[in-house]
Amino acid sequence: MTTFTGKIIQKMLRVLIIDDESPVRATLRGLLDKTCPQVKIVGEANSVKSGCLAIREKSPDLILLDIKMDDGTGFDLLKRFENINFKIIFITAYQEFAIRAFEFSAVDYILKPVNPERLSEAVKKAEIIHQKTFNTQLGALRENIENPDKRNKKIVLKNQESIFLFNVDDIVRCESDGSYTLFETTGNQKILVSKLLKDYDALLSDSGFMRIHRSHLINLKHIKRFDRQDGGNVVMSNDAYIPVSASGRERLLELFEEIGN
Amino acid sequence: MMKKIPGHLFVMLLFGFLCNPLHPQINFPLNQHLADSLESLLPSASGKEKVDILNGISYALIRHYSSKSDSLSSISVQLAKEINYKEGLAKALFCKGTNDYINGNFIEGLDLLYDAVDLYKAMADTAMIIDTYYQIAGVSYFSLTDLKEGIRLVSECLRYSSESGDKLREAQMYSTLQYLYATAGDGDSALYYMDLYEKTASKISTPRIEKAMVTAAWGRDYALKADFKKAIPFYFSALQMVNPDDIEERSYLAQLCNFIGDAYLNLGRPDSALVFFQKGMKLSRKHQVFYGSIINALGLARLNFKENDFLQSELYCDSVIYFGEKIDSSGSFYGIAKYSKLLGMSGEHYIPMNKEFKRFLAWRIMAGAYQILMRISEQQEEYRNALQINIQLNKINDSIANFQKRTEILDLLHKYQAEQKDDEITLLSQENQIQRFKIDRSRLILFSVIAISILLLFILILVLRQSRIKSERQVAEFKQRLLRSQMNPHFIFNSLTSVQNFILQHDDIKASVYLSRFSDLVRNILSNSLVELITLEEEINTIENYLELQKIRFPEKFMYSINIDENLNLESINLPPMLTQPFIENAIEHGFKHIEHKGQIDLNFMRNADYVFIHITDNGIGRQKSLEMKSLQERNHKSMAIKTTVERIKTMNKKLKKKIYFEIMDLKDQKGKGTGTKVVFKIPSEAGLDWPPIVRTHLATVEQM
Repeated sequence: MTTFTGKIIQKMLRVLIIDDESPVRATLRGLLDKTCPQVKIVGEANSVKSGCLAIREKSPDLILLDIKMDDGTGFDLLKRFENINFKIIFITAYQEFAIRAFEFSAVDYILKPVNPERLSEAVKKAEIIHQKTFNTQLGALRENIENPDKRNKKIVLKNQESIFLFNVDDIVRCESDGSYTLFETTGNQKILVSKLLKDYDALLSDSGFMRIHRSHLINLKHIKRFDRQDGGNVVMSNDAYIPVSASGRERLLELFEEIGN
Repeated sequence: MMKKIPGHLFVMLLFGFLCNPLHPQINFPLNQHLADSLESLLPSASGKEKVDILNGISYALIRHYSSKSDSLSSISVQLAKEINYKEGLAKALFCKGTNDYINGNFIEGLDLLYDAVDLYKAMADTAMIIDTYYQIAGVSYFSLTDLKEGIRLVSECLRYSSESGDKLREAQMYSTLQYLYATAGDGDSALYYMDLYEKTASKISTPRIEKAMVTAAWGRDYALKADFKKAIPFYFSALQMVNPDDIEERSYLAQLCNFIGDAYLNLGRPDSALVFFQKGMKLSRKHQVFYGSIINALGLARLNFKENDFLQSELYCDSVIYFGEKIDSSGSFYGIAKYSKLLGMSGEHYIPMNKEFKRFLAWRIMAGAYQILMRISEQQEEYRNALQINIQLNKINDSIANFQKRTEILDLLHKYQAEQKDDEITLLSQENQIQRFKIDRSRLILFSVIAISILLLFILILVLRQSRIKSERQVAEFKQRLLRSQMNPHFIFNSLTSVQNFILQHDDIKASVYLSRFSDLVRNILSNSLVELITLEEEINTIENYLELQKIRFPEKFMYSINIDENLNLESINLPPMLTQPFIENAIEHGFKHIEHKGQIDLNFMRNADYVFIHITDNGIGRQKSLEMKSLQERNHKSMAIKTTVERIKTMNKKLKKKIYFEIMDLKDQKGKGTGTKVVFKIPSEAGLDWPPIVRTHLATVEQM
């Protein structure tokens, strides 16, 4: 669907809404009408089954997808598609088990009741993101959801130019750089991501990472040794030499003691 | 024939058999024949001979006819003292002490056994010194749960045995030490003693059943070291050596199956584990060997939990609790009364356990089941249920802790008494000590006894208080989680999204109405979580708000009606909050899911002289069909919810004179097709008057379905 606005041809974003409660669909519809002029709503569905039919029929660019429906979850719906050629914003009433998985994969989700600003922001992001990039993120999300245990988690890192997909285990350390965070991986790759270190601290502390210094978050699996000199330094598997703060030192030593026992 | 042999000679023959057994009779098998023969000689006997006969009968009956054995040994003690017959007295004390242990009077039992040891030491009867010490070791472990003391005493027995060259007893001590170390979880030491046992036992002949137990023990010790691959072949060869037609051996067999199942489970072979756990269950069924049933049921519960089959796991946990309660109430490993004195597990082969220790074992296994149930509830975020389970678990843990604590203190007192006795003996022997010094000393002892007793009491109180505070804190924590799950997030946020829709449509009045209904509901839930009773009026208001909000989420799906009997005084009737809500939620979110007609829920509130009736009728697909439509996960959820409601009402009923009744009925048309569900509550109308205040802390709001 294209609309002519003077001489500028603007492609409309075709959106499909899937949620099992009609008032929720009405709300989403109302908010899209009001805040996202670039959007055209091409259909609605109220279940996994009808959602699949609607996707095949309307081939939307973007789906607002409820996670929990009567006859299954949004992820059950995605399982029925081999090639995903649409983008998805997940809508959920409740921060369930999966929310961490979303954070790891950098896939957007919106909580009910819907914040209009968040919605329009997410739609804008969905509009410009490359389908291939989105599919990488979605792949990571699905993998993380299917393996909810801590091992083999995938994390998506994005900078201006590219998107990277890593096993969490392959990240050696993160360092704060202003409002950016620098990642170092086992392959000696260095990636600068525009997100604060403290966000990654919150995300990764359950996966074997420790904040040993105001500007350093390290993967404990990659510690090579601990130097007691100069207030303490940690040497990582890639020979990076990381300072340790007083409180970090205490936590580290505690950890060593636990392991030692 | 018998009459032709002179009485005393016959007694000597019998004792020859008794005192020089091929193997030390450590688990007191019944010797009815011997007992009968001796009893026929009793009327004509007197003096030492009578004491011997009494002791002989008492010994032969110890485990199976404990009360008779006990009274005979009492007579024997008396008589032996009168005629100053030391050997007879020692044996009588041994019998009486052992009986006391079996009947649970272990402190008295210990005293008598120690007296017997002293006498045997004076007579230098090494074999009996060993047997008596061995018995004391058994009491220390099986009554006082004091493994360390048990090991120390058995080591003492070992020293006597090897010094006197008694290979039979030496082997017995090695295998017992092996057993005790294995019980303590120390696989290395257990294997060490096992080796020594094999070296010693190879020089003597051992009975088949002992060989079987030793073979199984090899497996057990390897399993303790997590070497399950090595353990399994031992278990299998033990399996071959046990006779399944013998009731006691059959119980060992069930235990062996459990070991094998455990080993397979640990090796990651649940299919094989399943076979053996089930075989263990089956073997235990015939003679109702509860121990075999409970351990194998726990095995199956663990297995299913690992496989994420929570429904099955719950069922087996329920079985564990069922069998545990049986053991707890009867103090026996057998469900059939006439078998109650038989050995019910291999540990009893060393020393028969008394009722209290059997209970203690059952509690520990039950605690395992409650822990699994709790993990299931927590994984399914069923915090209400978890709370109920936690209360049960705490009760069991308290029982276990009390058992251990009480025995610790009794043990300390006993040790103190023993020391005191030693002190007195020292004092007596030093006759040149002046009288006053003696008085001072015993006064000092008296004071220290009092001081120690007070101190122990103080510690006991402190410990109990600590555990109470801890459990209170846990309850508070659960209450918080409970409230969180009462506020079903899907309901809350989807309702709010519906309100958001009214705002977007500029329907300010509707938006305001539902926003305030929503606030009322949240307010009610918050305040209901703090009280045990609310008025019927408040309950109806809450339900109505709830229904209205559900209706804006599902405008097309259902209608409802609330009918209230004119005779009901809504303000004066009290009832527990939110009893009906889970059933309404169930009807809306599951019952109406797959129907083509419009859903209808009718709530009827009525009363007669004594009761208030609440009927919840829906025209959904019915429980049967709904169950078929649901995924396994959802099914678990529902069965748990109903169970929780039943539990909740049960808990309340314990404290009520007039009980609350509740029933779920499936409605059917003439063809037998499901046409809905009817839930009936019958609540005593004066509930408010006789509800004790303690109910407050136990009322968990009911599980949502």
